[in-house]
Amino acid sequence: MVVPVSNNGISHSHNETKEVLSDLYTVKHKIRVDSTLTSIKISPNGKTFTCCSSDNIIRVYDLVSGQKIASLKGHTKGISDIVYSPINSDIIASCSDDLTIRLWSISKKTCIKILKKHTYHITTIKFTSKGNILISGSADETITIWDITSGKTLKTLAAHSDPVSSLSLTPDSSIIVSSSYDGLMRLFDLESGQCLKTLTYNSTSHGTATASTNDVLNFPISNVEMSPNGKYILSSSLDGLIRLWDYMDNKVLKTYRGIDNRPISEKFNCGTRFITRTSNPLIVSGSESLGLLIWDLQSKKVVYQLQDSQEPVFEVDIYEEGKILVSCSKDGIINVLELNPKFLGITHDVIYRDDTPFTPHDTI
Amino acid sequence: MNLSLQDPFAVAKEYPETLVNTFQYGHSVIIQFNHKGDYLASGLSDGSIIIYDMISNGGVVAHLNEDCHIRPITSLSWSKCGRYLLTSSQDWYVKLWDLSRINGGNDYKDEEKEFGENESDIGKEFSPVIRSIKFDGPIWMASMHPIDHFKFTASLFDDSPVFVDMTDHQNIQITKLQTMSLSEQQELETEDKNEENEEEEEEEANVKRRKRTDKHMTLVSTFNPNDGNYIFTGTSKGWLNIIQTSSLKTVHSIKLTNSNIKNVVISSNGRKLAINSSDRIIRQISLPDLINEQDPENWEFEIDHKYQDMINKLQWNSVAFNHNADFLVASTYGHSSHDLYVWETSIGSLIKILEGSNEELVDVKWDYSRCCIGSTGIDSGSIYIWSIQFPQKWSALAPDFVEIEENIEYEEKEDEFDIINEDTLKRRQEEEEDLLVDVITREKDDARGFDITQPSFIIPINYENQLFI
Repeated sequence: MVVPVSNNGISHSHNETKEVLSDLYTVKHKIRVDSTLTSIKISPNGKTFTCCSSDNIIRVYDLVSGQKIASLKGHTKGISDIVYSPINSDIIASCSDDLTIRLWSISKKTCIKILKKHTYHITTIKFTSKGNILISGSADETITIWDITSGKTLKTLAAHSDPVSSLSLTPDSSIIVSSSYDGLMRLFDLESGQCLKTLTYNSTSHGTATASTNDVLNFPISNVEMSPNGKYILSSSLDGLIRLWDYMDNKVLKTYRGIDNRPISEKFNCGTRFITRTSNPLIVSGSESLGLLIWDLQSKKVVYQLQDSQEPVFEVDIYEEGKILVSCSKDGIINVLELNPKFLGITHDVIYRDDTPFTPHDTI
Repeated sequence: MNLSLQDPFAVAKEYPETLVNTFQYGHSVIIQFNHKGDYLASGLSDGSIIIYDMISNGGVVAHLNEDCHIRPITSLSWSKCGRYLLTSSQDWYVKLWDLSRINGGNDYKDEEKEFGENESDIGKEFSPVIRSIKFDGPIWMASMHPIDHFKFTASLFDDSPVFVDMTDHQNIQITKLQTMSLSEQQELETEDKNEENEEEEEEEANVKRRKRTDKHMTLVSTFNPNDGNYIFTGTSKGWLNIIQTSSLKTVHSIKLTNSNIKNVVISSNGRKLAINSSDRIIRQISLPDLINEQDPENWEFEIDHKYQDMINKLQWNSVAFNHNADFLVASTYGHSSHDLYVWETSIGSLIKILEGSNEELVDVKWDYSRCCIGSTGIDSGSIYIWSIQFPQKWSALAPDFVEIEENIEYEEKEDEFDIINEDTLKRRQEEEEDLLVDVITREKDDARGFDITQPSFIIPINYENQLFI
């Protein structure tokens, strides 16, 4: 089940064995679903988590017991992404290849709103922190900003020249970061819809500037994630690397590689998160064949791996800055992990309404 | 965070310049931004209230139309945290709204008990109106205490102003405040003493007293914004009375004019006071240090500037300061004028006339952190929003392009066309990546210098119903 990084595997890479924290997380639940799971999210109140799949079903589970609470059906094609409303854990939004975004009430087990505008597969959605605006990115190369109360689109951003793969928001929800298969990351002002900045990593970024545009190769960017303070962007690209960007400076600060320098993902969009509940910040990502990987943010070394199979892990999500970690994979395995209390650092963000469901605070 | 990527010159602008938006749901008569500046409450002529989200360019978050007023709203007042809203209306009611209870309440429902609400309160079918007080007539305006959302002061039509403590909903305490100036009060006191001795003069004194109180009404009352220790009231005879909140006694009075005081506006930093009166003059007054200088005798109120339109002799409808009282904006009375006037307050010069509406503007408010001005139109009831527009930087779309003012001769860098071998490149990159990165510590201020760490209440959304307005 939990596979610590083997000494053998490490010896070829620059990683040091002593950095490996094999007991960083303990597996609380392992749930198998007979479908490809594309995304997983934990509710803002930490009571449930939800998984969406390519078989058009959204499954909602109780986080503590791991029992299924609800199956939400309505989409007619595979679902690419789901997201909880940040202010109401009963509401989730989902986006699908059937060109619709649906809002669901978990308690009522019904679809309460359908948003339609995109002309091709919708790949990713995000709520702003106030929960009244939904942002969707699509394979039709646009980003749409929706006002949920009126159900209308506020803006459509002609953002990219290839499918939009991922979106992320600054903590104050003022900037949208989008990534696309065209190899660009763009920062948009949510309010005005203006493009504030474009980031790209290509052969000219490091090295000589002699390369003509033909020589410049932009690898598709499959995922972006904003750092908890909103100053850095973690980008995953299909050259198999994850990079940490300082977007104010247009600079790559860190590059993360798979074990033995193997690519993290060259085909699939694998989600990433920042884990800041530990004393040293970590980065977690799904991968194509290496399972779930966790790096030390500063040293860039792999400190933890969880591998069930050779199948890709598509999405990860965290609760309370990483105290709880969930992942879902292509072969239908959901893992719910809890951080080993001995690695707990200080909390930075004390706006949680509830304690972690598994281990109450006073027992730590 | 978006501001740090915008043109710094545009961010540094201190007052809005262009009309950017018009909100048109219902006939708005009064508006008020919350303290964080992300919501705008709009009081309608039908007595209901609309709350706009400023981020989504005027998306409606809520329409408070249950348990609401039935006559036009006369004032709106937000609590600092953004959760409570005090409204007053011509329908004789003042209501306190708990916005966590609107739109179904969402996640906040569970918290309700912790906030010490009474059982009987919750029993009332979860009404968002948690306090409701009926007075004996229409209310000019009600103003919430800046710290305690259960206390407010109100000026009433044809009645004495009041201070109300409604902490206990079963025992709401209403205290009447004096409209008479301090000197008149003292005079009356001495007269009263005299009366005891000379009863024959009683009748005469009564006549005198009646004459004095005749039609002398308090039209506006508001708290000083920092600690709410003083209530500032303006009367129909041009008196500014300052009442201590703890004792509810008048501690200072000044006669500023002979006509009605229509607005008393204190800047949010508590430094400046603007008095708008029907003699067509806005008087800008520097406030003494009310916190450190406790003795009202030592207070001095110096008129810095008088703003008036010499040529057209315009009346001013309403005034508002920006966050640091460097600027003052006023709307003008009359169908011929559709503009807002913005003055710089240190030298008192007119710096901007905001145009764009095609009707008379009534209420005007300044959204501090977003640096925009909102104003209501008298005929259509629309809300006009002036703001700073950021220019689109086209180079933002192409990372390898830079916008330059004029042509420059390009000078090749020494190592520009050097071919660096891959090992060196890799090593250099590794070295560069050795720095510690802090992904946790957040900025405390935004690019305009506003504190962004203060939490502000997020109004629940009704996801299930569509708002049709």
